Amino acid sequence: MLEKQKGFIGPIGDDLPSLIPLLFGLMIFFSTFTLTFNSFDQKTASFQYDLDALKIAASLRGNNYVYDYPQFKSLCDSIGVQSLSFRAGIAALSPSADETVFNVEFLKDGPNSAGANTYVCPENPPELKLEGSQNKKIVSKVLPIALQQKNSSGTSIIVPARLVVIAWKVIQQ
Amino acid sequence: MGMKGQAAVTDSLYFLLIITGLSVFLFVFANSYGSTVSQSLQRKYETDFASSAMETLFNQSIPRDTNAKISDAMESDYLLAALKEDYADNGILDSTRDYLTKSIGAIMSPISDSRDYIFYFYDTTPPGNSQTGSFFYFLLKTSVIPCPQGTNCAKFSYCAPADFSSLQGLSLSLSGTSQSETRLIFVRPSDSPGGSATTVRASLIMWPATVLGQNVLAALNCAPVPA
Repeated sequence: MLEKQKGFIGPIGDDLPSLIPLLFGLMIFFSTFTLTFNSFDQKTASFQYDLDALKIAASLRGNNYVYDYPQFKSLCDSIGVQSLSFRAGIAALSPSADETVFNVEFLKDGPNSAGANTYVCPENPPELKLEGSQNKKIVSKVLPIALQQKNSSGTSIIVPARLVVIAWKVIQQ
Repeated sequence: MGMKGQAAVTDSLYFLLIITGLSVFLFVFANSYGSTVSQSLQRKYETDFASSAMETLFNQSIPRDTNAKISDAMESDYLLAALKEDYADNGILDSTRDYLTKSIGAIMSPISDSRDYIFYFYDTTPPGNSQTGSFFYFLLKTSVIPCPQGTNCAKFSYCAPADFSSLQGLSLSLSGTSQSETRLIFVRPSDSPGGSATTVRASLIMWPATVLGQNVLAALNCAPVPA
């Protein structure tokens, strides 16, 4: 009887070695599960930001021809996206060499004077600065658009311009 | 009775094996999830870009006096109207061709670094005894790869493919293309056989910048756009 019980350290003690791979397996499973869940969540959110930015661009684009500021304003008012902060507007076709998403210069509907309206949406857009942008997910979209303007001779002309949409969301660290 | 501990260890090792398999599956899923959605979103953006580019191009103005600048022209017209007028003269684009090329280059400039494209007008009415229509304007933009820093890597060419079968090589060598196409009614020169009104296909196809094979370029019959 004693021979048979050699090394026997009790009914629980005998099963102790099997607990090591068991706990290790559970640890691997839950780590991978958490990783997968987080990755899935992040990617889904990222797609939603992209889709929302495209929706903003589609709303502002209208029929791809902006003839004056009131029309642009009504297109701007039709945007129903609330999930993102954004600034969007019409900029010159050729950007300056140092242009980034933080300093896009939007066009005005007339000569640079106090009365001129800027083609920017919303009217008082939230600021986006390089400082503090590390915790923001920024999405930008650019589409060509036709903009009616008056040239130096006073003739109405339609020029190609860029519809720039910069959208962002503060992400949890 | 004495084997009980070993049985428990074996069971737990099997459990570990199953868990490892499951974890590998989850890991692969996490890494691959979204690539198709991401591609679809990119494709949607590019298609939107192509259709916007096309509409902007045709809506934009051209000075009536082709020597004037649009910024101080006294008279202007829609580019599309000028193209139709030019084509109706002699069945080719001559006075408006360069303006059109510059406009396309400017409108496509936001994505020009990463995308190549073709833009063409195809008259669907066969001229004379021909069985197929003809391309009367065909612009190809390719990229110089690798591109030395500080140089212009966009290369523009006018091409004259014989017919649509000449584009087969091009379409086979490309992936991830986005396209916008529209049909327009043009007026042909009055002495053209086959009537005066004709349907013209205007098409813009773009793709991620890539090197095209010599056989593809030969089929397109291209010559560089004069500087």
